[in-house]
Amino acid sequence: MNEVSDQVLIQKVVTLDCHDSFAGLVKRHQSNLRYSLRQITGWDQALADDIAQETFIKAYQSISSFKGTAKFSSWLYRIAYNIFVSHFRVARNREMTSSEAVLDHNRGVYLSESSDLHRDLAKALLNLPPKQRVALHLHLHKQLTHDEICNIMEMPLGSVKTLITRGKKILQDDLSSWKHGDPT
Amino acid sequence: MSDKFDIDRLFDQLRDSEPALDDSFFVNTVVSKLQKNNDRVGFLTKENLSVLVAGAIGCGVAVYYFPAAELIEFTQFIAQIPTTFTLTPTYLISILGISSTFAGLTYWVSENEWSS
Repeated sequence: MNEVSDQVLIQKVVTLDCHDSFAGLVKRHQSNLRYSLRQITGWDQALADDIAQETFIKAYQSISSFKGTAKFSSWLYRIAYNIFVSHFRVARNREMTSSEAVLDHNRGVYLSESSDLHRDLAKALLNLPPKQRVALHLHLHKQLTHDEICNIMEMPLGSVKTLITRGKKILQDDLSSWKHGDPT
Repeated sequence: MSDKFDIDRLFDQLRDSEPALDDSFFVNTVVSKLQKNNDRVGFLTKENLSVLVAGAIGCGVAVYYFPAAELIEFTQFIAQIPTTFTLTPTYLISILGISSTFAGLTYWVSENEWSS
């Protein structure tokens, strides 16, 4: 199948301001990005889609600054990560974020066998701080390298490794207790 | 049997069953927002251009009918600009106070959500 590369589409958006080419990029990357955002927002679909929309609009506005040194998807993830973090910075001032409310409501969740697994894991991830959640998702689920995660989160390698190691330990403990029917 | 949960296996399972999210509605929403954004930018550009043109015409008319330059002695105006600058402790404290207040206000505004 002869599929146009991201770089060609980006070039058309930059030079011709072509909305159709950008729509092609959105179509190609939206599912991955929206799924990742659902995972790190406790499967809050509305919030995840809002962040995803804002990500694509920001990407369109600053697409001329995309140098092509990293993958377009990594660049998108970096924009989404910044929006996600600033969302939580604002939400921190409130008594409880919507995601935390979901967590409270679903604290007694058990791991399901099949289709709800994605949703359950997203809820389990809510026990972790936002940055740890993102690092863990990118490493364990998206299988990105430490360097790619450093690039997306704009953090030093040591900090990223620490986030992943600690996050994995907490998640592992949480899931073990949930699996044994003792959710806390 | 170990009590440890096999987290890597769980993520393998998740990757294999990751759903492909429907794109049509989402793509349309993003593209329509881009269009609205473009329209807004176009409107703001036109608005700014009109203000600039009106300002230039206004200045031209003012200069023609009200020769302000002749009424103001340019040398007197220049003389009012200080040539030396002494940094006194009071002055320094005032500058620090103003900049701290400004930085604090900026931080406070950025930390609070302002929605219409």
